[in-house]
Amino acid sequence: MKKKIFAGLAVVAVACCGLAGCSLTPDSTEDGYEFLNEMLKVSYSRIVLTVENDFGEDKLTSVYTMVYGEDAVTVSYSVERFAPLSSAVGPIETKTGMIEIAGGEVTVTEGDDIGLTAAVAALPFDFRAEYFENADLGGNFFYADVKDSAGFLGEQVACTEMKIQANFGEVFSSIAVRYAASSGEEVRAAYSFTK
Amino acid sequence: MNIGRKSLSFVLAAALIFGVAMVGTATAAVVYTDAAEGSYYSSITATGGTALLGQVHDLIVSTHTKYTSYDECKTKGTTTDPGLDGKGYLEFYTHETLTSFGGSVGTANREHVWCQSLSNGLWGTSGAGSDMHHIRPSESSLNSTRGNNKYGKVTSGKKEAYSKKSGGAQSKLGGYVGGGVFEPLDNVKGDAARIVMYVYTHYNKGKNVGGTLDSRGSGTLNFTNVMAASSEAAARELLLEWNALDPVDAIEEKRNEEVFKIQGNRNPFIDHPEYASAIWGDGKYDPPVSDVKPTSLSITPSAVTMSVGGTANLTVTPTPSNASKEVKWSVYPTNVVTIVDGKLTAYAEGQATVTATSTLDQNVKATASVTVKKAEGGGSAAGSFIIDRSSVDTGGSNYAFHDWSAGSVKGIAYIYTGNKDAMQFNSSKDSYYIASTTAALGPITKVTVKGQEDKDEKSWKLLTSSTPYGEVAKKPANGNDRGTKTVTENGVTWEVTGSDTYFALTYEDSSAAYLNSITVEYGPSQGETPPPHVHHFEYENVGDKDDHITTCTGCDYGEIEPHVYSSDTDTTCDLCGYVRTVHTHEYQYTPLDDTYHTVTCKDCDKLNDREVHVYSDSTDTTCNKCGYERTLGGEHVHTKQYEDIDDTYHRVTCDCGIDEREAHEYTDDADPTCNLCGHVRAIVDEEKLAAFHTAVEGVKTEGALSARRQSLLAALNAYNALSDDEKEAAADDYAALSAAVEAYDADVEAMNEAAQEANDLFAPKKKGEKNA
Repeated sequence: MKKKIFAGLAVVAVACCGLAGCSLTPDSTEDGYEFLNEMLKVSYSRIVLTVENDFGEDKLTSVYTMVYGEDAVTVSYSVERFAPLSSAVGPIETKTGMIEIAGGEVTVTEGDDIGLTAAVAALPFDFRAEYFENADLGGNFFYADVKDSAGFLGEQVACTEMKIQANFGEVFSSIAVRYAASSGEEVRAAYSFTK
Repeated sequence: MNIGRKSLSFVLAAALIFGVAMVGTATAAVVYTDAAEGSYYSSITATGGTALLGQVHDLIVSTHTKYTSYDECKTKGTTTDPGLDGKGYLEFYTHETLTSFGGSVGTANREHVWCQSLSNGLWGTSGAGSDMHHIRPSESSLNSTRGNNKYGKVTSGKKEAYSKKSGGAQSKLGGYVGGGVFEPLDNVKGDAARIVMYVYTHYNKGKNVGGTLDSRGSGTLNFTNVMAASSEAAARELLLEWNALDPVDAIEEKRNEEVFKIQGNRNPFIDHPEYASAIWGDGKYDPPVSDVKPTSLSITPSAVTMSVGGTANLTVTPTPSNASKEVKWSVYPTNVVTIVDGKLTAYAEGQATVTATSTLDQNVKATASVTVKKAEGGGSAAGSFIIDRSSVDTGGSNYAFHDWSAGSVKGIAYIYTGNKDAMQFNSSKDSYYIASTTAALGPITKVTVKGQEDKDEKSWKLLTSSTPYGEVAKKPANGNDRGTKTVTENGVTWEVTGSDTYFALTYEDSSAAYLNSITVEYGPSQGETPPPHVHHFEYENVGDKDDHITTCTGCDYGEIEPHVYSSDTDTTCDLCGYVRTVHTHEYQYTPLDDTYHTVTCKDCDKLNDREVHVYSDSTDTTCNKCGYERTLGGEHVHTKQYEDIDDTYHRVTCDCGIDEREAHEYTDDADPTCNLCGHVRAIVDEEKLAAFHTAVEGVKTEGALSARRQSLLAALNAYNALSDDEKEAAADDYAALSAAVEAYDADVEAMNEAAQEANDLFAPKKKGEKNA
């Protein structure tokens, strides 16, 4: 079984896979959230994160592509920013680059530096019932309003109407979170998973 | 003596230039080379004199592969004669920049450095008349002033010759004119000399200059045709003097390269100015053709009787015996006989007078009478002519149109003259035909064409026509198609019926083809109508300010006709060369009394008027035109003093107590300084200020960043286009613009911070993992 490498995380095998009698179908809500958290620990070979900041007539899109290898994670990124008036490239400038993380540290950097650390390869989620309301967990989906962003994402977010939608089979295929930031823009973060 | 800038590649050459004898050393061949022209001169082995002149002639004729049109002299002028800033055209005599070609004052004309009217009739606007080494841009007015004056030193009636600007104002000095002579400025003399030497060398027949080739439009030229000198020797001396006085410069060098790229040949006197003295200096030159003017000529025989279709030869004998035999032949009437280089061909029954005019002195002539009788059976006799490789002129060595002549018949052939053994055609070079441009003496009855031995047999088509063939792209198609045949080395014959007297042989195959000979047989003419007479006018300048005499060399036409000028400022009649004076009054004013002065012209007596005095104002005591001093009869004469107050006013005071405020006074809108108090104002372009103001008003402060950015950049561009004074005047608008720029950057920063927060939340870079 391929080791999962999240920088700083202990490797946790998906014990259910390959063991007789274990089912991934949740029988209860509590089991359901445990199930979701377990899927976060799966060794995905590739995760693509797209973050959109929509300011109405202006939008920024940043993409992070994480490729998980035997001993290292490669993170390629393309991050958009609004350019100052003096910039010759136009209203939006894009910073691109790549880092490689091994042994919990950034070992290779290329392209534009945007201050990424080894933590970039981690998933920020924690699925617990108390973090959500109006939750709906089905055989292959999970919808909910997030009422406690600090709990769910590990950080308090000044926003309203944070929602999460996850799709899965045996493992996650996608997770999407969106909210209206108090600064006015709409944020959408979408993960796509490849096992 | 200044030998110019070029250095020779062999030590021997230096000795040659300075005339140092090479003691104990065999005279070696000197090869003139220079990195700029590569191996262009590798065929030059002669050291000087006629031998060198002949080699140079053959070189520049054989490499002249592209004969430019008169129009190309204009359209390619931006490449060959760019103005000093790279735009427009460089004026030849003044080196100022002219913006365009045209016919009006201030624009460029095509200047024939060697005037058409001084070319012994060899060129107009083709041949040498459109040779780009020869034709230079010249300002229209200055071009007229030079007219057809010979080059030389002005020694009488010397006047400055200026170019003019559009509108007629004087521009720059271009030389001096007087006594029928034009003298360029010292920095142009060398340029002019080297062009004259090029034209002389190129367009003289080979035999005149020790060469073997005849170029298109060649004939007999003498330096005294274009140089004001008493003899050829004196003309050569003047050219050598100018060549040394004004060495080759970078403009000439670059121009030589550009024309070389167009035409294929170079002006050797620019690459090697030392050639001039090597050829003509220090008594080295032994003219192949005498340059001694004859005092008289005689023609032998002086009377000829011929039959229609027959030929005869006339020879010219000059007195003294060493004088030039070079003459220009003419005949009257022109429809009885033709004469080419002394060879008569009888056309029709009748009487004719042949005249030989010396090319060195048009007043020296001789005549012979010709009587032509009908051939037996009427009309002209049957006959034939043969065209082979030797019939074709030998100029150039690439595929091009070349002239041929066989007997009295002439024509053109698009062939490769590098092949000296056969007439070589090639479909890949668009070399497709040979044709006649003058008529056979009778209707063509048979054409036999032989191919070259051991060459592939190819297909050819015969066309015949009653009208001349000319130069066309690919091949002509007009006329009667006599069929296509395969030409063999033994020959193939077309039998022709009808009355056509012109033919064209067109290549109907591919790759190369070689013809050995073309034999054209024609039948007797029936004595029918000879070609209609075409006037060949000559114009005689009789010194009359209004008219010249127009005659025809081929008939008894003779009329008194008015001079023809190109424009009101043109001083030289386009036809006879009469130089008129275009008078412009030079006014002078003479006080008459307290009220009037007289107005007259310094140079003529056609003006005699009376005007009132002109004063600047009521206090001005001196007439602005004649200087008359008036007395203001005891009144106080103000002595005003002006003191600058502000941007709008100055204070005017006087000893008499005047103390007033007046608005500043400027000469015009562009004048920054008040004429009275010296106040310096800011000159602003109100339109530009308004445009900037509009741009600032149009700045978007909300909405999409891209639209805001665009409006801000537009306003900033409008600001940057302002002068310092205008920026000062637009300070308020600029402040508003600056505030908008700051707000934009602040919004950008805030939006970026917000986006970064979201990115950091989902692609964490600070906090640790959640799912340990």
